[in-house]
Formats: sequence, C-alpha cells, structure tokens
Amino acid sequence: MGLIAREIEAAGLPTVSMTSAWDITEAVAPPRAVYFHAPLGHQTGPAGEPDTQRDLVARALEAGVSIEQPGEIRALDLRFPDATGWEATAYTPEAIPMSPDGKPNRGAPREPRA
Amino acid sequence: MARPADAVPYIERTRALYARQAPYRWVVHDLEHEPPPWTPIRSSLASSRVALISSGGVHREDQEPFHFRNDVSHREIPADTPASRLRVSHFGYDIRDAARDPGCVLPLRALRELVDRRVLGAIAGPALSFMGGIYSARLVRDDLAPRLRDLVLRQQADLAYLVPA
Repeated sequence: MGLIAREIEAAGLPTVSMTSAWDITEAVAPPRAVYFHAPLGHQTGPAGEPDTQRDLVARALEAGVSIEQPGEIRALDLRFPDATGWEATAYTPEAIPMSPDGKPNRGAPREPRA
Repeated sequence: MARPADAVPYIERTRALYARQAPYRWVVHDLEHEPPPWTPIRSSLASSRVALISSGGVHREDQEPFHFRNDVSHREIPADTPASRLRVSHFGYDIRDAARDPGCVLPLRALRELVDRRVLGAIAGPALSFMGGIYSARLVRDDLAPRLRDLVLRQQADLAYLVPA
C-alpha cells in the first residue's frame, strides 16, 4: 500500500495511510502514516463497534493531516480492545487462513456464506 | 519516531512464513535518499472530499471475489453500499471479523457518519478495493498503482485515505 500512496502523492493528491505494521511502513515510507496497534484486518477498528470505528477514523485523519515531516509515522494513542496477547501469534501459520501456495492452513477460517 | 515496543515484527515473520518461497523482497526507501513525494494539504477536513482505498479484499456481493496471490484487480464499491452487501476474500489475514463487519478494513460507514457530522466534506467517489499481500512489487508498481492513481485522480478528491488490511 505504501507504493500506491507514493504514486498518488507524486501525482498531486495528498495521502494519509493507516498502518498496523510499523516495520513494513517504515521500510516503504509512504508520505503520511498513522499507526494503530491492532491485529491485521482491524486497521479501522474492532468488528461490530461502529462508534469506535468512526472515532478512530476521525482521529486517524486528524493526526494524518497534521503530519508535516514526509515519511512520519504517527502512533495513535488508542489500543485495540483485546489484551489477550494476540501479538505473539500474529502473522504465523496458525493465524493466517492460507499458506502462500494457496492451501488452507490448519484451522483456517472459511468465508461465511451470506 | 520510535517504533512502539509491542509492534509486531512483520518483516521477520513474513520471512519465516514464506521461507520455502523465493525470498520476499521488501520495497525499501531510504528516507534520506528516496524521501516520499509530498503534496501539501490545502483544505480542512471539514471541507475535504476524501477518497478511500482499501487492500482488505472487500467486494460487493455481485462482484467477483479476489483470488489468491498476485491478483492485482480492483473493485469499485459505491460509497452508499450497505455493509450487508459486502463480502471479503483475502488469503493473507484472518477475515472472520472483516467478513462480519467490513468496517474493520473498509470504513465506508465511518466516513459516511463523519460527513453527516460535518467532520468531513464528502466521500469523493466509490471506494477502490483490492486484495493486498501482492508478492510482486513489479505488478504493483507497473499495473495496480498507476491504475488506482488514475482512478482516484478522477474523483477530484482533496485527500486519499489508504487502509491496508
């Protein structure tokens, strides 16, 4: 996503990027990034909490547009409401649905049918 | 700009996860020698048209799902689409929460509410959605990024809000 942010910004449209992966964002260096400490798939908040999501998005945009130093990552003072230690297994074979060769990982969740 | 102590080391874990594949080559820009491009922000949020781009793999129920790995296609999702009409397909993260509530990765509802409250001016156009985790930086650079750039520029937005998964 950082490459896309750079491409858009270079064309004259300002960008604000969310991130929960500080190290990747630091490497790719988009123009303005806002860090929210959350598991992948929750960059704009926990499921089923629309008020939390709206407030988070508002705070992220406000923080993002206040960045003046190109490449800055601004950390939001907000915590994902899950203190179960999800960080330990984030992005490990147990935690993602498919392996890179397309085979479902053990215990992989299936997309629910509508 | 210190990395938070509890930030997950995704680069290290990606290398471990994909150890049997050709090495994933991270795009690295040195802030000193390849600083990000910079366009000053000229309008307040309350008067801004905001464009939304998400890599969470969200699509409308009547659109084709994303396929695994190196799918660089995109979907346009009208800004007034209710969450009940959205689906998620993505190989690279646990999609259970996003499938239940796409607002986790595609915050259209949040943006609509912020427009209603006059925190934002408007949603500039349909959300541009794709599936991240694209292994080929070349495909992103040569195909996806310029395509999304051209689409978002047509929305006459003042600000683009990019939400990865």
